[in-house]
Amino acid sequence: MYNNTLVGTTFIEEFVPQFLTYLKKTLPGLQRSLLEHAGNIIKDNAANVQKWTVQSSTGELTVTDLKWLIKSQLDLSSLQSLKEAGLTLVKVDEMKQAIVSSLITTIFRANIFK
Amino acid sequence: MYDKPILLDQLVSVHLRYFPFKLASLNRAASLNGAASLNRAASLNRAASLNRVTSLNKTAAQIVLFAFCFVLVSCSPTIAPFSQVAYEMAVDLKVDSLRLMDAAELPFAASATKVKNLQIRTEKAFEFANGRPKNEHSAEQWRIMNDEDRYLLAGFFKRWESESTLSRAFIVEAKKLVGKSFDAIIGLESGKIGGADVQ
Repeated sequence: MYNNTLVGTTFIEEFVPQFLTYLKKTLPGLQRSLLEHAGNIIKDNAANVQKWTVQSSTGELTVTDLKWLIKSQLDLSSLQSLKEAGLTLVKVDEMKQAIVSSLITTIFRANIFK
Repeated sequence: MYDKPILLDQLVSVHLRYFPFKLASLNRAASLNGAASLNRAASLNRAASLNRVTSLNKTAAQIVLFAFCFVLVSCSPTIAPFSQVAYEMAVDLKVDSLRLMDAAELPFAASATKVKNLQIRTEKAFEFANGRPKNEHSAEQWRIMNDEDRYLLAGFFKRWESESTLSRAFIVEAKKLVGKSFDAIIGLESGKIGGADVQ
């Protein structure tokens, strides 16, 4: 006889640990890449502004050039943030696919189809 | 034959059409002939039919579960997949833009036609990105790049046009920033699902 309770329990017992393992594997990487990205933007901005200030003081760049470049750096940061936001959505899609794949594997393992 | 879930639709139609007819014909034959064996056969058929209904219900549940998984995977991507056309457009425009920016030490009038043509191509890239569903991030990147009131490619050309020539030091620094901006656009496109081959 088909036992719903038994199969349901087996299914949850198998699926939840698989899902948690996947999250443990994925989330730290995602967090690390976002933090690295934020850190790189700050470092780049600081280094560039410092360099341009020196160039401005020596007359290589005008004040107008300096202002333009700083604003350009901000626009570049916007583009890089859009890239990171987009890549995070890609990871969300990949996560969704992994969950469904894991779900299907667990369904078969839990003998729901017997 | 009845155990294969893939034939569910066919089985349901066969079950609904064939079994009532078969039971009815068997019952009619039993009453007409008074044969006990036919009644038994009809009773067995009824039991088999009930078992098959249970099996079909189970199969239907499996199909619904599969359909749910399928819908979750295929019908709801959060972001557009990789586009080879968009990727190539961005790479070509990066090379051509940086080369044209190098000419900003000379008067703008000498490169005005080239700048106009390049701007048309970047506008096409924006329209291509903007027209793709769930592609807002890439479209916004191109919008910023093409906005003359911002400070990337279109902003650089606007300044070049208004000042006629620009200094070498400024061009070098601006090129680095515009180059990185193109890298952000290319990086997002190649990072999308299906773009692993170009990474």
